[in-house]
Amino acid sequence: MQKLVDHIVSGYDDDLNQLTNSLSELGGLVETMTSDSVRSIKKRDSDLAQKVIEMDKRANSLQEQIDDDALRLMALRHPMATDLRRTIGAIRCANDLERVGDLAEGIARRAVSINQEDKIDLAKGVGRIGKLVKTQLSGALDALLREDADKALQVWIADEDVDEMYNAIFRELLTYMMGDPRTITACASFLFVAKNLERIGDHATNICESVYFTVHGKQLVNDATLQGQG
Amino acid sequence: MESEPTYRRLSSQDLTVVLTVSFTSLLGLCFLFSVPLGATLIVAAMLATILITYGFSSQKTASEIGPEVSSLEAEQHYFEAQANLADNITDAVAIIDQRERVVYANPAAQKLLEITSLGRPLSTYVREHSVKAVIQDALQGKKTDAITYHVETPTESYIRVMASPFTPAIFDPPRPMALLFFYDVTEYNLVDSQRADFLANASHELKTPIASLLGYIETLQGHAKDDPEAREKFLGIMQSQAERMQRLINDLLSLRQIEQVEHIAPSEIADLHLAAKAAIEAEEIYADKRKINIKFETKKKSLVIGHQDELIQLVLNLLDNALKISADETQITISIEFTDRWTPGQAFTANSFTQNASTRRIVPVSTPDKPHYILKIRDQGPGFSREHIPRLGERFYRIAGDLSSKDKGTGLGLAIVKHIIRRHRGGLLIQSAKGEGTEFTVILPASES
Ligand SMILES: Nc1ncnc2c1ncn2[C@@H]1O[C@H](COP(=O)(O)OP(=O)(O)OP(=O)(O)O)[C@@H](O)[C@H]1O
Ligand SMILES: [Mg+2]
Repeated sequence: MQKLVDHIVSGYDDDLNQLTNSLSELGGLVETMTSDSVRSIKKRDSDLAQKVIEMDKRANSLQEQIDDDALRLMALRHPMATDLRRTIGAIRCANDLERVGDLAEGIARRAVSINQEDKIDLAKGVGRIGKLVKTQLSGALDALLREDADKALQVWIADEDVDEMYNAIFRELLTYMMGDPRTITACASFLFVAKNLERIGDHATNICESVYFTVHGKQLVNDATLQGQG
Repeated sequence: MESEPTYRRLSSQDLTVVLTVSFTSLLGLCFLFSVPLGATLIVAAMLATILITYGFSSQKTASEIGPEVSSLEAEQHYFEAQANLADNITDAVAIIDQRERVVYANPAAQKLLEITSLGRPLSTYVREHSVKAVIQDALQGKKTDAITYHVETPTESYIRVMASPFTPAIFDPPRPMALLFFYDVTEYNLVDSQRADFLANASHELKTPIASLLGYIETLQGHAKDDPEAREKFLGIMQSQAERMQRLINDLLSLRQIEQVEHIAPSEIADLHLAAKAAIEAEEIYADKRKINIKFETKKKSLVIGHQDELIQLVLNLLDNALKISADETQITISIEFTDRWTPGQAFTANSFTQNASTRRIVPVSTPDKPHYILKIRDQGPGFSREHIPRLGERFYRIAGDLSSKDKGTGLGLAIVKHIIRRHRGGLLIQSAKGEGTEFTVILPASES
């Protein structure tokens, strides 16, 4: 009888496991960075923002490590078909995740300066889009680690909501700025934050596209069976 | 080596690992668990002990059965017995090997962590950094403290993890592994923050109607004292204000009730068809009065995993909105369909809108692979304009300018719908086109039977 624990683990599987572990760690890290950066604005907590800024170093080094591991795996083991796509997917996703880290760091830096200004009540809209984007990012990471193309598709479709919400916030902030020019500096900062969040959402969809490609070997955007499902 | 190299679907065979727990680690476990960790931990430890000791005794009988019965058959009997037993453990138990791969997960763990195949590293399911540190300690044979981590999707919850080192006796050389227990401790952690939310919401929303009541009372005591006509009018307004406050409190209470149990999916079976019928009956008189035709053609039982009363409330809230927003002499269509497998694009391929409808997944479906029932409610009302759609389901979000509903509504109806659906691990979509109406789609996991 086959016992799982008795499996001879090839070095190859071990390498793939290692990639999953690193991706999971990097994913968890940038997830935390994203939600903490938003929280540092909502709670006016500059210490928290500072922590986020520091975390970015770890995110960068994890990305480099994933790149190295994946390249070594390709050079030494010549993976084929799904395994090749998996390896390339890991590189692509690590790249997206690292960018998410940078964007979250950007938000945290902005938070520090926002928190020095007088309090104005604009953080709500940012909190809303932040929550949605965090859900998108977590969904994309779940899809990535589980190699779940359906989940990936679901998250990918829902990106529309992020865009819609960004536009709503944009309009809202614009009205504020026109109504009271003294709020322009603060509003511009909030706009920057919202834009960064929207871009984090875009990276989540990139990850979904990579997952879809890894699993099906086709590009999500070109997949004929999905046409007309906007 | 195409896809899924070492991963394997879960089967009862996976239980072998459990019976390999040695007596020493068993004793160690009992000691570890019964020390200061509270009642739940002790119960879990006892259950684990039963499972493990049972594993030992039947391992002996399996080998004593002798050559008459084929060993394969004996093994199968044995595993069936084991599977039944492990099904009954309500706490989540998993075992991971040196490489952090999940080599065993009982059904509760499979459910909690959404594990679908063995052999993948634990980090596939848990990204939490603190958990990683704890399991690495356990794998190195160190005793660790229980830690609690927080997850936000699919529903907000807190999970407590205990990891202890253990080395199955069957391997030579020995292979150190780690035994993990997971507990859902959401209740203890969420209750406080929810109570605070509840109070904040309630007081904020009640402030306005109370202020206006006080205003009318003042007027009645003052210059309207001797004006019977004005008195009648003000009393009428006051009554409707008071009624609104009552509705608000009721809605807040039911919202809170659902929130409290949201992290526990219902386990009973409910009939969605009956729920829809009950909701329609409740609104029939009002609909007739306004000559709105509610079309509901499905006649079949539609059994879902759910809570009957909550489902009625769900349909009722959606139907109530549709009725409020619809013009007289229009039609509302309700339908229920079955699907073997939910695909996210499904709702959008065959829709009844002529123009490009705005869409949003208010709650995405989390288990697309399973069979689902799909309930749709379509009205011929004004529809939503785009900018409102992202905010639907938010507490107290009412659409400004939509005066009639602003007067009557509390803005909690859709929030309640959203929470009911989240608790049911279902999905909620909305499609709407200005001038054409709105369609809400509810997707609920079908019951197996
Ligand atoms: N089918 C629909 N078509 C158009 N607008 C809708 C529809 N359903 C709800 N709405 C709008 O969405 C808003 C929120 O609805 P929700 O049910 O949450 O609150 P409500 O109906 O105002 O109050 P409550 O249901 O708590 O009494 C409402 O203001 C209503 O205008
Ligand atoms: Mg309503």
